[in-house]
Amino acid sequence: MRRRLPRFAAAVLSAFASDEEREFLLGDLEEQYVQRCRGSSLGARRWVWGQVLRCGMHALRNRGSQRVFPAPASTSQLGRSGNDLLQSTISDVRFALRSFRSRPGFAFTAIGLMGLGIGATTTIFSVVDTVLLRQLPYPNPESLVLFDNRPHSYPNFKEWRDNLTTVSTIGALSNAEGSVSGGQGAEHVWIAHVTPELLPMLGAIPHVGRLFTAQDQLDDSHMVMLGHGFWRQRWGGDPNVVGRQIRLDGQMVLVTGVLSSAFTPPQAITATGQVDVWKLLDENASMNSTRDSRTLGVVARLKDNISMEVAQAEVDALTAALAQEYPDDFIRADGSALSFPLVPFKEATIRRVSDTLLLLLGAVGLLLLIACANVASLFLARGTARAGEIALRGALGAGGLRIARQLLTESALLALFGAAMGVGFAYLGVRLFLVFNPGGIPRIAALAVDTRILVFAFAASVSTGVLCGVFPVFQALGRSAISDLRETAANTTVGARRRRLKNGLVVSELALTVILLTGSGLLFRSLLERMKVDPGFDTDGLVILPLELGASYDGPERSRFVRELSESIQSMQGTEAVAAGWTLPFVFPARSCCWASPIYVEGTEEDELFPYTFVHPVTPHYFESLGASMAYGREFTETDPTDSPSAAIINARLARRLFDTEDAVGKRFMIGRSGPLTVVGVESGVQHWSLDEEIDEAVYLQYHVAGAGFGLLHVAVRSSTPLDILAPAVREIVRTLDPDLATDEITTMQNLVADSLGTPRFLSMLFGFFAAVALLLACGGIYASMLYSVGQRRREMGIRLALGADGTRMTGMVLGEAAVVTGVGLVIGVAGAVAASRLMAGFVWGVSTFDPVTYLGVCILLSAVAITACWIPARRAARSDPLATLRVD
Amino acid sequence: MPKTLGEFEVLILLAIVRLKSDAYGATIHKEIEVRTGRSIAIGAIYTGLSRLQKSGFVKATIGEPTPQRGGRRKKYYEIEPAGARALTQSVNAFRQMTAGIEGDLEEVLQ
Repeated sequence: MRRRLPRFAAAVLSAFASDEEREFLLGDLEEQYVQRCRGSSLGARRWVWGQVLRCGMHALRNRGSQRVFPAPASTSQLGRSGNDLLQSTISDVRFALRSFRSRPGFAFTAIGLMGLGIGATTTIFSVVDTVLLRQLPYPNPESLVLFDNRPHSYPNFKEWRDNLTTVSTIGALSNAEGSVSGGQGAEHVWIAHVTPELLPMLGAIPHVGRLFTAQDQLDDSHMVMLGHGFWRQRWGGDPNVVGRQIRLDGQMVLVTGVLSSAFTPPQAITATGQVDVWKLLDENASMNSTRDSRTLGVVARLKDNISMEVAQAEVDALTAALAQEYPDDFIRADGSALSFPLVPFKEATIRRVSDTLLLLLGAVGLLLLIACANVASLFLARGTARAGEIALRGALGAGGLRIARQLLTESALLALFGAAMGVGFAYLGVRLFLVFNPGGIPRIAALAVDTRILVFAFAASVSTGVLCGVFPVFQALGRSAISDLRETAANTTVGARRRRLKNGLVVSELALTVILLTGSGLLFRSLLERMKVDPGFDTDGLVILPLELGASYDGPERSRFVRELSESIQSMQGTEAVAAGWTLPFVFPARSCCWASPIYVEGTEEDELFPYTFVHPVTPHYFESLGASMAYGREFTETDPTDSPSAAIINARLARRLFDTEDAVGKRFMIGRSGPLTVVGVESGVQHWSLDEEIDEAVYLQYHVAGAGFGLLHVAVRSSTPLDILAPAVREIVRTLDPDLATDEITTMQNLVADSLGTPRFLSMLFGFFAAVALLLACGGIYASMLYSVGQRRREMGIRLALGADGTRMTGMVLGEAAVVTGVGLVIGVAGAVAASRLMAGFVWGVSTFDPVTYLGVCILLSAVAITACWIPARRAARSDPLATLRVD
Repeated sequence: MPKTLGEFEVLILLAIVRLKSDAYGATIHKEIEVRTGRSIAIGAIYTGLSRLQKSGFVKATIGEPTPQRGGRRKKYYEIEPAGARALTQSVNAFRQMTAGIEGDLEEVLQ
């Protein structure tokens, strides 16, 4: 194949050539390129790009020599014709590029600072954009609503589906975990049980096969659709799996289709946002037949022209009617009527994370401001150096606006370079964010830097450029050419006004840094406080095995399985204790999987029921395995009767609430409408959900009595054997008992506890990073400012030294100025931090938002850093040789 | 008084003379690069050539397009008598200035 000049290189080169020469120049280049390609094509390409670079530099040099300054056009001439404007802009740009080349240090620093600020802001903005701003990826997303106060029961869903006239479709989903087995062994999967309406409502289309129909649900609900990713991973994208039976939780189910890869599971109602298997919801399953079994997330699509208010009114009316019919199920424990507020589906999807992300955006915005202040003071310092040049141009007839445009062009150009660098940083930042984010951020998988983000970066850079460039412009506009020339010529001690402006910028940098540092400090302290919380049990050496005993097990069989499994694990070397529960502490965040029931106490009025209380089915030795202690009484043993529930363990908080005493052993109460239970033990306080919430009131029942109805099971093993040896052994035991069970989710309790702190840790880490960068910038800012100040006052100091002042005094003078600047910055910053602390309230835990330790620490840290940064300029002031400094002028 | 030539212009004129009838952008560029060992922007060659043309030192004729050049035409350059005079003058001046100093230069270099 004939080689051609790389197209982009050709385009760039032809821009450098004049119209009449273009053809010959490109021809010459291509000829040489083709010749060089015979050697090595890489070398040839490198040669072409070398030529591009050289020709570019040649063009710059060549044109630059024609005119030293852009033509001094007066303001009245500006904009008279578009061509003039274009010409003068081009010459402004050219002039700016030349001036950067003459001071590369300045340009690099400014570009680096802006790139850092824009990069960080763009990264966080792209997260905010992906998660908060974009529409949900479903058709007409604005008409989708979620029934809040979930989960809901299937009978309630049916009432809504059959009676609501304001919604066009309504669908429900319930989450489960399970195992797909057969062939390559058992594998853990996330399952969504869905009604047939849900997937079409969300615009899902099948990749192969078909979606569920309403008829399917009547005929046979043992049907599944596979998620695209899971299908690719387990079946290698084999379309023939459609129409075949696969084994799900030990049962055979028919695969009707595979969902399109473009379909995103609805994150507001799925457990993790990942769904491997979509199963048709079984109307006849026991969990879908009663009103107190609540497992569903319900989404509806409003009819056209129906507002949320109208739909809500209809739902409320229906709820009121149902409450008449089923009072027990529609009255909350505190006597108030249960309600089902409708929430826009998008709001429901993002509400959990929106505050966090907006806080991050605010923080990164502060960082950008600090970077801007830094660059602005760089510009100021440079403006001083160029005062003579600007004054000369003014004297030669350049109007104020013309000069202002020139200066703004320079800063805008720098900001554009900064943006290019910032976009580079953002690409990196987005990658890092995806790696380090704590999980559970909806829609985060779609995070990428795209056109929208590039537009944002561009807009951010232009405003940054204007913000940074505006100070020198005001300076340039507000001066008379004559006084400037005189001042520059004399190089006297004037410049004080400029120094004040510069110090003002440093003050604002320091103040903004105080706000960021305080925020970061408060978050870090909150994290430490959380980590100090005692979970009420020993997390060390505890291994957790989640299992899903599917529909192939009935109650007694589950009990038998749990017993056999416990005995086998118990007999392993190193095992200290084994127990199981329906759930275990920290396996589900934020009560996402729970059983709650009202409680009645014997001897009180029949209708005096206590609020919903969490019920945990557990096996004997549960507390021993967890390493938790009993405050009173004992825990369950193998000898407790298992035919009917009679014994219960409660936690100390519930004991106080029900019986006004923690020693509640022997007292009796009822759960729901079941028979009386006798308290055999009181547990002193195990955290079940997270470290940072108050312990919930809780009841523990025997697994073999109360828990065998659930498919989910968690086994806790306390062992001296490390996880990497224990895990395969436990997996082998499970495999021999039932090869259909997936065991890939085995983990340690310490991991679970650490995961529960993922968000605070991540937030604290990001804030810490922002604050560290801010500190660095502010420190650089005050250093540069003091250096500049010393340079400006060289003459004054020279005179003072000549008149007999000693060096220490000079050092003191500079440090004094630094101390004043720092002090003012701290005062303003602390005031700002106090004002901003309201925004932090939701994120700070265990310490006050006015935590004096944090505030004091920040002040001390910042003062120390600032004074250290000023040490070099101060020393320079003291060492200055009076004769030398005076002679320079 | 004819215009004096810059060093780069001298190099271009010398290349044209050496290349005889085969002097066009690519060959001139290569000739100078190979003989002087310098990397030069092709754009610079064109700037130099157009300056020389303006001063009446070289003349250009357009050649036929060839496939090696992606169908683009060549622009051949020939030296004009004025160019030859200026070049001779420059070369003579150079020769005069360099005569007998090789030994001295080497001494400095050592």
